[in-house]
Amino acid sequence: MTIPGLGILKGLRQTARNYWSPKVTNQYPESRPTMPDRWRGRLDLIYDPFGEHKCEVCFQCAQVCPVEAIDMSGFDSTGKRIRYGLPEIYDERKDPNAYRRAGLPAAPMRNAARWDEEVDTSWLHGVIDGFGGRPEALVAIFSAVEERYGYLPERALREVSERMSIHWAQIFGAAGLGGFRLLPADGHLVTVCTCAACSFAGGGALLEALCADLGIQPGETTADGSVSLAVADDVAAGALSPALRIDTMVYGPLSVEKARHVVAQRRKAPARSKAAAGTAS
Amino acid sequence: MTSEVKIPDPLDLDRDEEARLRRVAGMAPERAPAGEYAGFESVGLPERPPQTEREREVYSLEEGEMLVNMGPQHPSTHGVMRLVVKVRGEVVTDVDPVLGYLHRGIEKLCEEATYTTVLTYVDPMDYLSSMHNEHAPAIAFEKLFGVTAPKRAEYIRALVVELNRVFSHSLMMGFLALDMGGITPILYGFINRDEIVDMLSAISGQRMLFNFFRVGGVNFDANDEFFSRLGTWRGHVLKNVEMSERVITDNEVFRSRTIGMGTLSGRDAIALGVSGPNLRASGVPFDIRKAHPYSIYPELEFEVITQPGGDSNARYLQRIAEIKQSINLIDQIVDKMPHGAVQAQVPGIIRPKPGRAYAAVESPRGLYSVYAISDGGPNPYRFRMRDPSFVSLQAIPKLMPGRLIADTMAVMASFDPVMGGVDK
Amino acid sequence: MDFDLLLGVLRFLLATTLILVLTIPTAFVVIQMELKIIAGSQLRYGPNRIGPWGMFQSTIHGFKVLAKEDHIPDQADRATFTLAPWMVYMAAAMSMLVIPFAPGAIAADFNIGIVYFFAVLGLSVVGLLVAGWASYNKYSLLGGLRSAAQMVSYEIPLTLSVVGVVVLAGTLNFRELIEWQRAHGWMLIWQPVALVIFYIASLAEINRTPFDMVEADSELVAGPFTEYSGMRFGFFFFAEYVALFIMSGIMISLFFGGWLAPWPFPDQLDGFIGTVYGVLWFFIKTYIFIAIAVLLRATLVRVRVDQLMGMAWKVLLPLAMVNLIVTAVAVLVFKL
Repeated sequence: MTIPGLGILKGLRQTARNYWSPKVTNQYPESRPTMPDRWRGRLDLIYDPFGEHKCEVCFQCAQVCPVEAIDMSGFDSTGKRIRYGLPEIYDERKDPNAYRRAGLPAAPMRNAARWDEEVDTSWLHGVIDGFGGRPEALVAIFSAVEERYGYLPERALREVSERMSIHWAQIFGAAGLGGFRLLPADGHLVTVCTCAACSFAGGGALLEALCADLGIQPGETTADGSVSLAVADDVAAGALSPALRIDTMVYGPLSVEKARHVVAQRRKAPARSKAAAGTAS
Repeated sequence: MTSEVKIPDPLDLDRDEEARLRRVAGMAPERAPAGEYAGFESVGLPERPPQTEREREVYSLEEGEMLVNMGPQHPSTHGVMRLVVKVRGEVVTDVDPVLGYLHRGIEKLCEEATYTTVLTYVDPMDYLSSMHNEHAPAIAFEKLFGVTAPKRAEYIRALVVELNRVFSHSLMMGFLALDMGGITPILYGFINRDEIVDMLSAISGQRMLFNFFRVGGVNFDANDEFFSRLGTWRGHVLKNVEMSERVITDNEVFRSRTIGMGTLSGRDAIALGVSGPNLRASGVPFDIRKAHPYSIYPELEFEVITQPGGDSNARYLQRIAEIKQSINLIDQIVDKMPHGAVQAQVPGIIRPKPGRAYAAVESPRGLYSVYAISDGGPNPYRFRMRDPSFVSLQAIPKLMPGRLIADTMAVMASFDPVMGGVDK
Repeated sequence: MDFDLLLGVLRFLLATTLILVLTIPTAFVVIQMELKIIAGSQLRYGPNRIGPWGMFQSTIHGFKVLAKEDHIPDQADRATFTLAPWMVYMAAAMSMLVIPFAPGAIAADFNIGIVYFFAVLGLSVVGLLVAGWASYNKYSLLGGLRSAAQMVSYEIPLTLSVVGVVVLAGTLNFRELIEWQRAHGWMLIWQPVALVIFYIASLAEINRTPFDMVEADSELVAGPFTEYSGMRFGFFFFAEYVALFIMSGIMISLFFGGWLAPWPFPDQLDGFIGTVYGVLWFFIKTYIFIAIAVLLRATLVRVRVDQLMGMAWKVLLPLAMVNLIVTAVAVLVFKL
């Protein structure tokens, strides 16, 4: 049982005084607090005392991120570019929207086909379920998709990730490393292996012969678009050296003559299987 | 349209159906006869016979009594704790705190971690007094390993520990008012805390879970940034504390809700194991910094403060007095701080000889102690922490009977438990 | 048809509609004041992003409440569940009819205005009880009962303190009361004890801190409004703030001169400008008292239920009775 009195008035006086006092709130986006030098909360890549980034681009953080918020690319010790996502994204972040926002002239997207194409999801689900949805069958599923579409559309990869409940980052990793094509193309992709075993077994001569035959260098496509040439060092295991891969099929061990013959033969055949012949790409 | 899912009402089932479902759910096949284990299902416990005498006492209802659940989701600020309150009308007759909602298995985790990693695991236990959480294991491990921290490190440790005490007590003032409906003092407490935490982030790199202590010293030396922030803060801290005090201490409504509530006599407090400001507010002059001195406290001058009374108001006033005492201690420490190294030379992975060590510190909630057993390997064999909030909660069932429900939270807030420490 | 009667009815309808429409902006303004004043006393800015100085925050809150899901518990009694918010809101709106904003601007100038006001205000008690009962939730029921007990026990000192004022002024009509204050000076000089009792009791009537045990959120239950969501809860919410406005308005009408301006300014002007002048002063005084009530909410802790009831019956009621007796005797003796 209380009768209010002076104590309450004292409190009221303090509160009223505070109403007229300067406030202590930090109005965040307009005024950022200065964090001390030692503060560990910054999202920064840190440098070692020699001025090099301490990050080794081991991809562990990106693989383990539960919301897939990390993309990365970097150079490995031999100077080659390694990347985690679709290679085409990482060539440069030439997103036209970003350019427009920055007020720069926007180059058209090189990979426009990726974003607004449709993928036959029911067929894809059929393929996945045909393998029982097992993660070991991922490469086989990729092969099937590439056979149908000629490359791996990003939409299809997203579907696979959803359906098989495999982390998107791992799908990317498997697609990037497995030698699959990630850009649409009409012709065949001929990948010549340049691993150590194939190089010792004469893969260099193979590559030169093919370049001369087709008239293109690795990374280019012939004038009629039927064959693209690429090199990779993970086409086959050492026993098949020297090896080459056309689309998804690996051929080896080959001599120069046999390689030229195989490429010429495959060049004549249509790039897509009959089932996919009627589909738009 | 999707079809409606009909959830069967248990009252609709016939006996066989109900028995089958109960078996499937792992419950007893039949409901317990009313009256004997009657109180259990209304508070969400499975129907089973009571397993201890105390449980039988709490969960057996007399005529006119009711079990009410003050559930784990409290708007109150201590953390997740469930209180099963047995009430007759508005009057509480018994209280059973149900703990464990914040259990993170820290003691077990520490058995798999190296000694230095243990110091990072113990931070989030009693998250409002992180430095104390780290201090006790650091002392224990130093005893095990046989290393002494350099003098400057000990002074820095005492400094951050006292700063931690200041902001923990400031927050308690706010929580006490908040649990009773006063929405302002908590914000003043947080203003104080924010400044101190900025200071501590200048020295340790983090604002909350500091990870500052190491076996053999501290991680970083105190730099100019830290001391300049400390100086600025010291200039106006007493005014801040007074600002908070002015709103509540003399407030008649506050006084009527805390004076005479939750009175704990000194004898009862000692019997229950309550320690720290709660014990000293009941008149018992026991302060570990004086009774079993550690670190550099023998070199500092301070008296043990007590309050007569032992009620909520006394516990509140005790904490205000301790804030002022801590500020005084901080002044002395800054005055006397020597130069030197801040970390002794210890190997990367510490392998103490087999043995046991115990270390106790005075945390803002009471006696916080660590008992570590080493078997010679890189991980502790056993790492046991004794948290003061856990023990203070035992006092609640002793104090509550005869009071109203509304007082439950107010009295509990005056003990200032932090569930992180209770549940580890 | 009597032309005057028609005009009177038309005027009444217009006034009633205006009052109903005005309750919502009033609630918005009061809520905005509460947000900013409590924030200021806590040394923070409060809402300052929506609109200049955050002016539109409470409006956005109102629209947000409209957009929420309207959920009725399965076993709740739908009719009474729907009825309860209306009752509480109507109590607030109807009592706004007699508030004397300005000499020509009273919606309903009843001769028994004061009695009407307190009678209608009691309707909100019924609304709360109905809300607690219709929710099919024992905690809501308990909360509703507690709230009803609190409001009923504080109505008695509230009305008793006003009876002293009425005895002095000799009229139950708000307009005449303010005329009396114009002639004799503001009522607070004559009835200071009644003012104190009225203020405390009015805070308890509208469930404001320190008497908001019922809707306390660190207590056991969330009160009778637990099961309400969306606009139904919005009605309760608005009704509370409209009631705060109304109580402050009535308090200044009874004790602080209503629409009369304080000393250095002329009391009252004539004609249309007089109405505007009166309304302006009415609002200034009302909002000052609302600000005081909000500041009390920022500063004080809650009074416990038994202390609350104890204070009503053991302190305020006897004081109010004593005040009444002394006033009556004084009126008789001094022939006021």
